[in-house]
Amino acid sequence: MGINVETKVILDLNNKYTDKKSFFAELCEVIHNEMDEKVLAITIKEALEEREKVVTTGFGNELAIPHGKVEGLISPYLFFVRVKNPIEWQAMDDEKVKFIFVILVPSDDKDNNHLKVLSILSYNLMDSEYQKMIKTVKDEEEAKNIIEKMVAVE
Amino acid sequence: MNIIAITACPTGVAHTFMAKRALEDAAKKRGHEIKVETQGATGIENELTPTDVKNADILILAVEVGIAKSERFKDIKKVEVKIGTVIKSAESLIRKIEEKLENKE
Repeated sequence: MGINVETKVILDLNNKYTDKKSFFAELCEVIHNEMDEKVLAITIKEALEEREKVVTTGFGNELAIPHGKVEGLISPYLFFVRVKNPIEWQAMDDEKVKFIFVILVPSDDKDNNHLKVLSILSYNLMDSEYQKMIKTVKDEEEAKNIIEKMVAVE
Repeated sequence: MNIIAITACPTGVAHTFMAKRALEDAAKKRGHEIKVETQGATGIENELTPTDVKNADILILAVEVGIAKSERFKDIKKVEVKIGTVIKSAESLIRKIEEKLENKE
């Protein structure tokens, strides 16, 4: 299965903020500008924050996977963002976060291939080999190749 | 041990599947059989059958939302844990379950 989800890679984002709350606002502006769909940054931010309240998405090892169901979104998006300035995420291991997978899914999207792809990605993100690979990518192409691999194997 | 588990979280695309992976890895490492049902955005996957339930020693519920078809698990020992606990420290969870079951038998 190839990656049939719109995937964007942003490497070395020179983020202004390193506290989670302000960074989310900054991140959502960046994401919004990269998207073809006209979903407001604030809408994305609210979806991510809503989810973040339940359990932190910083799952350790400098990685986080903020995600949410976004009102008005037509098809899902996946972003891989590597920041220059690590974020205080209140992660499970209390370490700062530098590598961020953002998953946005439409609020009314059920039972389709996109969600399947994203769930396989999440499953494989727990793999320490994949974690190592994604944390050492040199460029956008390499990042996309690894993500492609991560969704291809179950 | 024969472990069965259900993972579920509100969005059902990330933690549900990360917890599944964490449980599978930890169980394998400790030499146990495990089957994990996910109740995520794509519905129920890898569904636990009556036979699975019958043969299991323990059910781990790593859920942050109500689960579907919970009537299947009336007669089995259960452990309820936060999904974050599973992702963070699945192996120590499995160890604790081992101890608990050993002490009772």
